Amino acid sequence: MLEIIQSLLPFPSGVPGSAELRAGWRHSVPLSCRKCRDRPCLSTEHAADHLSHRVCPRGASFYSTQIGSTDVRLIGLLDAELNADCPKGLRRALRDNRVNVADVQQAVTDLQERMGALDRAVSHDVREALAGLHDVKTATNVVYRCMEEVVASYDGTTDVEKIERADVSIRGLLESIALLKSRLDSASIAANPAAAAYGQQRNTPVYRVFHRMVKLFAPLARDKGVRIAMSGASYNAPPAYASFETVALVLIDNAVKYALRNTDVVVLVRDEHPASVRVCITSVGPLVPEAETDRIFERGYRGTSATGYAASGSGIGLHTAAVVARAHGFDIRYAARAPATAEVGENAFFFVIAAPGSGGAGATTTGGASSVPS
Amino acid sequence: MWPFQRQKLSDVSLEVPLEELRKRARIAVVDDDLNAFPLRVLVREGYAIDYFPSVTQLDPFERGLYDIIFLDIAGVAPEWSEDDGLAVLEHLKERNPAQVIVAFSGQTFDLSKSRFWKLADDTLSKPVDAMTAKRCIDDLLARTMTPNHYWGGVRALLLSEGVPEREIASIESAVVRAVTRRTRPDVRGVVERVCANAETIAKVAALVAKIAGLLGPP
Repeated sequence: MLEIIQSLLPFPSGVPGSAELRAGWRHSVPLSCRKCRDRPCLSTEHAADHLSHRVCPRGASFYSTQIGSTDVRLIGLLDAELNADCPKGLRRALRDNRVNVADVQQAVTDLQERMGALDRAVSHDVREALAGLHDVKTATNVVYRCMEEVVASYDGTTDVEKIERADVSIRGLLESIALLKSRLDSASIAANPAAAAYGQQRNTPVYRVFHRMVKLFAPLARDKGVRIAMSGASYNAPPAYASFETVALVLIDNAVKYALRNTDVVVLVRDEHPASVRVCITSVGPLVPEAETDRIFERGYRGTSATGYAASGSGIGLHTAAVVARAHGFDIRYAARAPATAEVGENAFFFVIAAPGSGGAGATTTGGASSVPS
Repeated sequence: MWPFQRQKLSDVSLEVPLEELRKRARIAVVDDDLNAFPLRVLVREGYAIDYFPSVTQLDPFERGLYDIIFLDIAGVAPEWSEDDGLAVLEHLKERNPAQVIVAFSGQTFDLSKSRFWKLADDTLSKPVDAMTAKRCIDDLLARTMTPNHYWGGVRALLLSEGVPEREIASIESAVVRAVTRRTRPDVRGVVERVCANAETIAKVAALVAKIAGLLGPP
């Protein structure tokens, strides 16, 4: 979406938190902006939902605005009225980028309308394409209700007791349906990232979520000749949305999918701070090349090693997990343990989830979690 | 406590066990698909659940007859509005802010339905198993079947009628006095003095009755 927005902007632009500047279709990036090292115009401090004007310390104008949900900065501009104090040299350098507020406002409004129309068209197409997903969910309802009646016929006072007394095949079937349900939920979040934060956050025993997923994936891992096991101990239950399960689903699914035969997938879950939990999933398989580690969480991106190793995969899973992680205030990190030239080695995906204000999850973005737990 | 300070419902301790809340709670499930909700399992577990394939009448939902309403978004109220379940949710929240509504749908993937999910007190996405539904109900009962939650609804109703905070605090005090004396709080007269809307008065009385039901003898 960002690329589309920037390609339709007449003015040079950038996005907060990134150092990259892009020319507009009418005005280019001035040399003085290209040479600027600090780029205060791209600071995340200047976020604004409406069009807001500022002057950078050098004297050039920049605007903060939001197109859809994307923060954009229009940079390297010279406003006849608002840049009265602009030094002569810079004024000369920016002579091709003269604008006035009305022009900028008009361009932003036009773009917002265009992007809104595009968004509506995409939503319509997505809705049509996903109508089948709703039918699958409806069919799954029937399977659930039938299974509940089967389980009810077993002895026991609680559902848990009844399930424990059920045949192995019935328990296997229940686990398969649970896995199907998790995949359907994950697909819904992939289609609508806002769904990652639907509902109330509930205190969630992280160990139990991952342990359940390990049990669901055990048959698939066994068929592939991969051993999968839990490790560590955790009693913390930080608040999380129902979507949190998708993180477990995606990371364990990926680990099993790309693990080499006769290797182990280990899911380590352990308490860290009083209210935070660290999770690390390690597996042995093709490594993500260093140049690609930042891109593996991008939507639709499949690393070269992933493409070569497993035919299936759409590059959506890790992106969906990252969306859910962000909804919970943490990032998922990747690290490889292997000699620099190796193509195969130990892969680790890890994160820290914490209760708000406990400071635990902050460690992921400040470097504390960049070391893989052993 | 300062002797002349007005008493608040938050000062009155409440310890109604979850088992008791489960017995008292009335739950409605509105969904055109009978298989969507684990009705049979949860009824066997002792929950009082009424099932509605569609919204034929709004009145039982408006009156606050149900403690929790599980509401589907599609196919439950097409004759009421193009927005179907979303329109019902908006209407009920407007009429009775204390009404607990769970958005219950399989259409979490639909970006255009975001408002439905955000307006609701909680969400449950389909397909759902009995254990998840039970956890959702128990959590909501513990969170919302409280005097404070119902009082929040009374406050919102009175504020929407322009009743000053001072009068609202005075009504709250009257409710607290009644429930601590183990008598039935009759706030109709007090509310009628500050609010002329008969519908709002009836809603306030219904919510106060719920508070009394929770704090009074079982």
